[in-house]
Amino acid sequence: MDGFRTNFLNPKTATFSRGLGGSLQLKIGDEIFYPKVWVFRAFPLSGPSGFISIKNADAEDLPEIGLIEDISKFPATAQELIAEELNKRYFVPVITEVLSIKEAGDRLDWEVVTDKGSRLFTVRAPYEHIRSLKNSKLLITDIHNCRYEIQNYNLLSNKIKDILAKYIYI
Amino acid sequence: MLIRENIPEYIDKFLREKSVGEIDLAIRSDIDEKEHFGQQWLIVSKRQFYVLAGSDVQSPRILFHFNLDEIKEIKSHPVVGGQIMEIETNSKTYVVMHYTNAVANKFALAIKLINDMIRNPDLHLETIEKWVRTEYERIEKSKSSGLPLPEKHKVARRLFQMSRPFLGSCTLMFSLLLLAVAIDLMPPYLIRVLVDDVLGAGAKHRDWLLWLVLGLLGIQIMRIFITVVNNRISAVVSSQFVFDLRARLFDKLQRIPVDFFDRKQIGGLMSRVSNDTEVLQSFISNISHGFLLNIVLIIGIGIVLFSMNWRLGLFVLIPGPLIMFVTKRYWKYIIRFYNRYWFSRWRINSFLNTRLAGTRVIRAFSQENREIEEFGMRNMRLMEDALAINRSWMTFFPIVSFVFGIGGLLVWYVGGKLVLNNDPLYHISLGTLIAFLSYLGMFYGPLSSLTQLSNWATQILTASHRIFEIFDEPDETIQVQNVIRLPHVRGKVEFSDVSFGYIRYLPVLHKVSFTIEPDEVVGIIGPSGSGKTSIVNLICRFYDVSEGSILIDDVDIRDIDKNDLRKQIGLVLQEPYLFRGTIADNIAYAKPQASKEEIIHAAKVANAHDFIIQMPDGYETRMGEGGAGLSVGERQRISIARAVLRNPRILILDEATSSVDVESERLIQKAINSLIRNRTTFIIAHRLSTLQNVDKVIVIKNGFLKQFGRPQDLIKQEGYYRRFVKIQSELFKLKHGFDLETSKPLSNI
Repeated sequence: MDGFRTNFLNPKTATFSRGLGGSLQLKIGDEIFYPKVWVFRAFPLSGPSGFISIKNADAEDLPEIGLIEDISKFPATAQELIAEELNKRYFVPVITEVLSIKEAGDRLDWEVVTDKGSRLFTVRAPYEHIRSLKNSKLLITDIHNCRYEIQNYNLLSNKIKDILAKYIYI
Repeated sequence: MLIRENIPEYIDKFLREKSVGEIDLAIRSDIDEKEHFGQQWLIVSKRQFYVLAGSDVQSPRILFHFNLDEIKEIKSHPVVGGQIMEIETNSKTYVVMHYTNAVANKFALAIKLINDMIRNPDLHLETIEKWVRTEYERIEKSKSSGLPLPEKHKVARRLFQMSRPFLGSCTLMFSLLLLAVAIDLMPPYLIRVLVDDVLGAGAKHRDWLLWLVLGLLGIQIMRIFITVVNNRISAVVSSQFVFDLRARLFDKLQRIPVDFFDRKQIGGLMSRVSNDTEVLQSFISNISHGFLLNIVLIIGIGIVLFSMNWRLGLFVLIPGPLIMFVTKRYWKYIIRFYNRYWFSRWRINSFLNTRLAGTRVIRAFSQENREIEEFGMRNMRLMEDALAINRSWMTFFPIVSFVFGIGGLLVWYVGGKLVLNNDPLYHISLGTLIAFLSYLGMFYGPLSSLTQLSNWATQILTASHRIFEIFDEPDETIQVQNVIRLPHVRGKVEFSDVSFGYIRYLPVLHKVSFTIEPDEVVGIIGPSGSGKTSIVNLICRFYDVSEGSILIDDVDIRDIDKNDLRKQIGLVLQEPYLFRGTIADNIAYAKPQASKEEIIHAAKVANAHDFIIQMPDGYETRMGEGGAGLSVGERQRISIARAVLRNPRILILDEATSSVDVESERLIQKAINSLIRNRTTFIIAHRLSTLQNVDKVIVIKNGFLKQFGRPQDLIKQEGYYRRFVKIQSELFKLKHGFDLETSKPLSNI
């Protein structure tokens, strides 16, 4: 079973850096060097900063090099680099204000302000595309499969809550 | 100029300052360099490639600049909600841009164009300009987010148009309804006469009593008669309406492209066909009893009340607005609880559904107690939600009847005063007061139900809109004008540089080319998710290629008459789908007029005859949903028999991955071997035994054609095929303790 043992990257030997082209690079010890790696979250919703898989982006099947168990154990520079990469891969704007929601058929047209700027988007079949998570958090997927997050349903205005209450179960 | 999106003034100015020159391509992304929503520009001009930061009006700047000659390839890879564009040069890979899926299609087009320019420096842009323009416009048009919201009056108009065939019956229903209201208004009037002229002190017509009572009886009989007739008509009309609608909907669903079913969840579609049509049924039945009746009643009673005594009529109206207001507020409040209740019910149903189906798993992992607890929790929530609704209804009803009561009391008091008033200007008779009160009882009920009119209308409009949405889907790929009839396919299949993606910007096949001669047998192998099934989907023309072309007998598949094509293609799916019905029905699915002899012959070829004949009902054995009651191997052989009977020129076999026992495998193998004779056959293979009789092998991996050729040649090359054969033979050795290559038993296992 040894081949299946989870390989956790050691904060002391694994060094991350930014390549000239902008790719994330990983060096393990003095010997092994990966010029381009990609990062994936194992638990993007409940544990965004733990269990981050580092994969070799140059190989066809994207083999996993190792897992980061807890990003906070890594030096500040590595933390910053990985956060940047994760931000790009998991581009999930957090909705800070819902300006309006228009209902029509089984479709909702949203006008929102997010931490990444204002945005208009459309959600179809809201029953399926608004997912309520723990702690009154909502995850919304629009028709283009772009995601948005609402941190706390309870803090929304009553008008918006009334609309959303039809589609979610909190 | 190929594509030039609206470049804002400040960027235009900046480009002129940098003397970028005439622009061939300018498209805008929706994320800026700081990973915020904003804009970045991809600009190609004079074989120069630029990426511009454009969010800041003050200072646009160039983020990347390449000469097209230095670029090896532009690539993009998917991330959550978007894509990242990378540029590969000879020395390095640059991460240049990030954009969301909302603009991914036009970027996919741009990337393809730029890559073409890179590969072919002599490419004359003018020659492809028109094609690019139409492609771009198509992409822009298909952006569903830009679609206008459906307009309510348009939906309503369509709905009425659809009810046109029932115009006659509806008119009749409406006339009967008016008659019914008129009749409803009569009894209080008769009661007034009864009180004033028959029962009252000094009444003149004591002998009218019997006649008046008989009159009231007659009215009731008439009313009942009208109700029965009207309800029966409405039942017929509404059922017919829904019957028509459902039939048209199913008909439409058979004609829209297969990919529609990938985009929508089947469950959602089921509810459209069944639930939404039922909501519309209520639309029709509500025309006769329900809202229309209420409206007419309110108007009728209102007129009568005011004409009897307008002063008293005004007092009647006082509680009216109050009732409407209270009911409306209450509905807004209670609807939330209803939603919760519906959700709880749905959750408990789906919980039951999965847990009952998974009983074996629960028992095997001994998780009964946890499941019982979980169910208990859900059950509790359901009960709480139901309780909340009941509790609030139980409070609401007394309050509403209290308000009604107040209205009554008001009329008693004011009316009583008028009865006692001797001034002939104000005086009313006791009979008038009593008639007034009984009209009042008929007035408030409809008034409070009217407050739900808008809810009801919204529900109807939503349901109709969802149904119209299906009707508005375009039909399966429109046939070109000059279709080529191909009644006898020889069976040559050629893929020429075929690229394809279910979503345009996520290709699953990349420039796949191969040629299969008639009657050849081809094995398709490769890891799961590599694109094998996509090849099959394209040959059946469930989808059209994004680029390149597929030729059958040297004719482009898009030009071939679709019926001709599908008539000559046989498909045996991995999970053989059997419909409800008998085994014979299923075998003869594509040829319902097949004789018993033909069916038996097909079953024999498929090696299915022997097990079918042993069943108590033989070929007339009824099968449950999806073929329940039969083993996987048996189902597979029935579906092979189905293909045999069709006798297609091109056969596509998706071998089942699920393992069957050795004997079944042998039988299926035998069935396949007799099936593939004399026709072009594609077999998606998972087992070496299936590849025994193939003429050619296609190896597909990550959407690329990795190897193609005769198996005896491929085995000599290092590659996927050789590994596949090796792994399979080792598996065989493990399984059977027998070496396939040397044919010697392995004694030491």
